[in-house]
Amino acid sequence: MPDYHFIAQSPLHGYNKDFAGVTIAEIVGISITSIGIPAGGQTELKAALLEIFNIRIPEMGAFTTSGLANSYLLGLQDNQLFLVSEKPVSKSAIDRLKPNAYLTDQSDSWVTLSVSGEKCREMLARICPVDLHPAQFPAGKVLRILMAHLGVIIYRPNDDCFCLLAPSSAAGSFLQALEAAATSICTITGR
Amino acid sequence: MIINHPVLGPCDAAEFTYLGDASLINRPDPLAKNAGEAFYEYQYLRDSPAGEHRELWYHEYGSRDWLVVTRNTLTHEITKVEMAREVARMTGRDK
Repeated sequence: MPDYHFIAQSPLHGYNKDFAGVTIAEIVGISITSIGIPAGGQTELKAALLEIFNIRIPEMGAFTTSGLANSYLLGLQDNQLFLVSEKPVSKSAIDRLKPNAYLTDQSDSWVTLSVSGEKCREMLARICPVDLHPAQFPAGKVLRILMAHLGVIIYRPNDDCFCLLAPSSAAGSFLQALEAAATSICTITGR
Repeated sequence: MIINHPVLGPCDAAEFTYLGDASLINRPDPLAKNAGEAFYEYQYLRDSPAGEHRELWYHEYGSRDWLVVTRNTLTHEITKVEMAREVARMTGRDK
């Protein structure tokens, strides 16, 4: 019987490229778990998340963070959260959360990209319909919006960096749209 | 057209998809004696008012929330936006 070996691959094979003032990089090896909150289950889930990940439940449209596995908890709806972390959620954590949450592993469904650098906001303005000025979209905010005809989740870890989650099935075309935006900034600035 | 999401604020209508009459929330009881007739009405019979209309919109490219939007079909003026879940609970649903 053949001896199979599986090698994990990311949708964009670890893409990382510098443009003038903008760096686009795929973030690989992260775990994404959707957490649905059952009606009336918020209090128990809040306690469980604090106990396991030391993380608070965010308001809708915002995220909270934890130093444990560099985790982000994205508040996408008032009853739906995405846990983005550098380590998969352990079996014991799943067992602890399960009674008070609907959990779905979505790690393979999304491609995660960071767009950083001094020109990142100028570049994203070309394909993102939301005003990303710090007065409107400061660090700590998250939104799900339409970019390049795709439903994309965007969050801002700090002033000079945005993280984008797009469907992994459309990773190539989404990257092409980002590259076109980044290239157009280079053309305009003449660099 | 701009839809004022109850939590997120003003959102472009392009982020939404339209389903139809908000009465679709009130799915008939499939075990009731008149279930056949009730489902026929639920599925096929709709009002098509020229004026104020309550309808379901899905924030597909946004929060993924279902909203009940009260819209004037003649002017597109939106006078009320509610979370569909809350509308359903107000009618006695528990989920």
